[in-house]
Amino acid sequence: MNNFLKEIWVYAEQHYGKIDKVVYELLNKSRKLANKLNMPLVTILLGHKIRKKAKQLIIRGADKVYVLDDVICNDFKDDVYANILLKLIKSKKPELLLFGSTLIGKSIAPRIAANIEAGIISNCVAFKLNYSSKTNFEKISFITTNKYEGKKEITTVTISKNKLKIVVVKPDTLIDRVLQNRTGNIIDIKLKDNEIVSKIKSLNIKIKQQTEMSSNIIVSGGRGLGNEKGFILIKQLAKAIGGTIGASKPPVDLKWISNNFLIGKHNIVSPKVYIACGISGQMKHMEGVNINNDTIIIAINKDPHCKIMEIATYAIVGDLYKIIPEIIKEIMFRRTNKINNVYKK
Amino acid sequence: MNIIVCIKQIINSIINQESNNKRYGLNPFDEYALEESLKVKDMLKAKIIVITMGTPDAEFILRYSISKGVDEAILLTDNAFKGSDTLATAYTLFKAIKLINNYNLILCGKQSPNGNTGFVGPELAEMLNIPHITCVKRIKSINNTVVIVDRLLDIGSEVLESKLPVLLTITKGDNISRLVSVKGRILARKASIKIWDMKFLNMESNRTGSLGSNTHISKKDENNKQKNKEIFTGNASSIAVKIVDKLLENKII
Ligand SMILES: Cc1cc2nc3c(=O)[nH]c(=O)nc-3n(C[C@H](O)[C@H](O)[C@H](O)COP(=O)(O)OP(=O)(O)OC[C@H]3O[C@@H](n4cnc5c(N)ncnc54)[C@H](O)[C@@H]3O)c2cc1C
Ligand SMILES: Cc1cc2nc3c(=O)[nH]c(=O)nc-3n(C[C@H](O)[C@H](O)[C@H](O)COP(=O)(O)OP(=O)(O)OC[C@H]3O[C@@H](n4cnc5c(N)ncnc54)[C@H](O)[C@@H]3O)c2cc1C
Repeated sequence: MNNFLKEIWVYAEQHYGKIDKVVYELLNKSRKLANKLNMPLVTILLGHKIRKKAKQLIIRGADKVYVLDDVICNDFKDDVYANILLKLIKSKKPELLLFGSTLIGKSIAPRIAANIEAGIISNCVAFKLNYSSKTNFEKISFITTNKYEGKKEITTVTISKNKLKIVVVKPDTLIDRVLQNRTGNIIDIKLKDNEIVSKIKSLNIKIKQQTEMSSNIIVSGGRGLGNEKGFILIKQLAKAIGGTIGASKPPVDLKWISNNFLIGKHNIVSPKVYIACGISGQMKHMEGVNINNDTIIIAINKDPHCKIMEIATYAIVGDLYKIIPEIIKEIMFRRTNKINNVYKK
Repeated sequence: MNIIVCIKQIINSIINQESNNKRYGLNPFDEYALEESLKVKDMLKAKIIVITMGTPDAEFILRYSISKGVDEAILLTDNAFKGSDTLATAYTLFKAIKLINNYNLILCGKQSPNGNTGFVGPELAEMLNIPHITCVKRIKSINNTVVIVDRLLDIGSEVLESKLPVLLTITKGDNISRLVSVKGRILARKASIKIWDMKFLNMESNRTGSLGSNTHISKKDENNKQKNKEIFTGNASSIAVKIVDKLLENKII
């Protein structure tokens, strides 16, 4: 596949009409890239009753939105979504195509890559341009991260010339930035009757209660809380700092807190600040916390030698029941006295 | 029912301190995939074939699979396969599966810990022109035409029915690996492993290995550098003053 269209495409993942937060982060990242390369940023929105959401993509950076609003896209089906995207990609041949690293993104992106023999990259966290070649993609490389046996590896990956580039981007900051005075085109696409048929049928779907853990600040409690009352303290600290709460597995198993707050492999969070109270920081827990170079980890723990203290930015050694109330008090004190003007609500 | 399970060898760097040996093992997600295939075989008449692309010592995970109850094992090995990215890996597996040419169900692991892409399964399904479902926790039921599975979603979970043949990528469910029987151990020792190379697969060398890969790793760093870590100890109220300074400094509050 040669002669690519000089456009950057972003797949706008949505669930039953709600655009996934990772899309906004992708738009934020790729808008900057589009500016540098002087290329239009295009998003693809597939779903049912979603046309009115296209505006949300434009005000966050998209120049053009292709919308397919069709009942066949109501439930996510791996084959249906991949085939619709494939048709569109084959007809337009964009050079760079971005997906969020979600279950859906990771299911359809490789399928598309295999069909058109693209180069496909996973776990991308940043794009790197060689400035001597600002106007083309040839010198773009992709920074990817992977955790292997608890160690973080950073790998730079490139894609062969003359290949369409598919990049699956890991959510990290979940920044949602609305830009001023933006306009863009919304283009409807339509399917012919029976153009797409699925071999897969949904029999039953359970949607889990959305937890508000996509926040920038998470205060988490672990076994070190000792009992369920500990979470009262955790909630107070979260409230004082303006964050939400989370938990390691023991408090969930011991029924101190609902399963919705469990952080781990199946519920990965990407806060800017992670405050771990009475959590030792074992691998199974830390798999659930996306850490990048800017993530601040604050650990409050009695044991100065446990794992979390090794990785913490600020390691506080002591009894959480003594320290947390003091921190809350101090925050309140500074607020009321306005000793420092820097704080924002 | 013919089932193909794709498995991958990984290196556990749980290094034996005395010998400094690296230990080879099976990708844990492939262990779950293997167990799901064996559960199907418990329910109905089925033949299970495992295949892996890897170095000759990957024979170990094939014999291990046979000890658990797998019927046949194929090792795809050739110097030319070295450096394969996910598409080159999937294409090599595709060529082998084309040769087997008789399958109703293909199982892969959801991902593997070193590359950690989870791309190989969906890519392989596309090449075979069959549907796929990722992140399957369990096969609920299966007959000769359809399979019903529980799959995880980012927003919850779903029960799906797919026509066969289909490719499933398996994640952890209640698929705890079964124990190996004495009989299994003997079978594994005696089993003959098929070894297929590039020529046998009738492949062009520009479709596999680093030559056949569109992605290229140019630099690898291990990032273990400690950010300017600070430790706070002592009296709770003085710690609180210092940490709130940090919160303000970083514009957290
Ligand atoms: C298959 C499997 C899956 C798992 N999945 C997950 C998962 O998804 N998420 C997850 O979190 N875990 C998971 N786990 C469990 C995981 O391995 C750890 O056991 C768990 O994360 C430990 O939780 P913790 O840090 O709260 O408890 P502990 O490891 O017991 O640590 C408690 C810490 O609190 C400190 N402490 C005690 N009292 C105080 C005090 N008064 N003040 C300050 N510090 C104090 C102690 O020093 C200690 O460091 C899984 C385990 C298995 C086997
Ligand atoms: C740090 C790092 C980054 C990488 N980044 C990329 C990238 O961005 N894009 C890219 O295309 N490649 C990349 N690769 C290469 C990729 O890891 C290899 O191609 C690898 O052979 C297959 O990918 P995986 O380990 O990610 O497998 P996954 O797709 O995660 O594995 C899923 C399942 O596929 C099956 N499977 C995978 N490999 C085999 C095999 N050899 N034999 C039989 N079954 C198998 C198994 O069922 C396995 O459970 C990277 C490798 C490393 C080490």
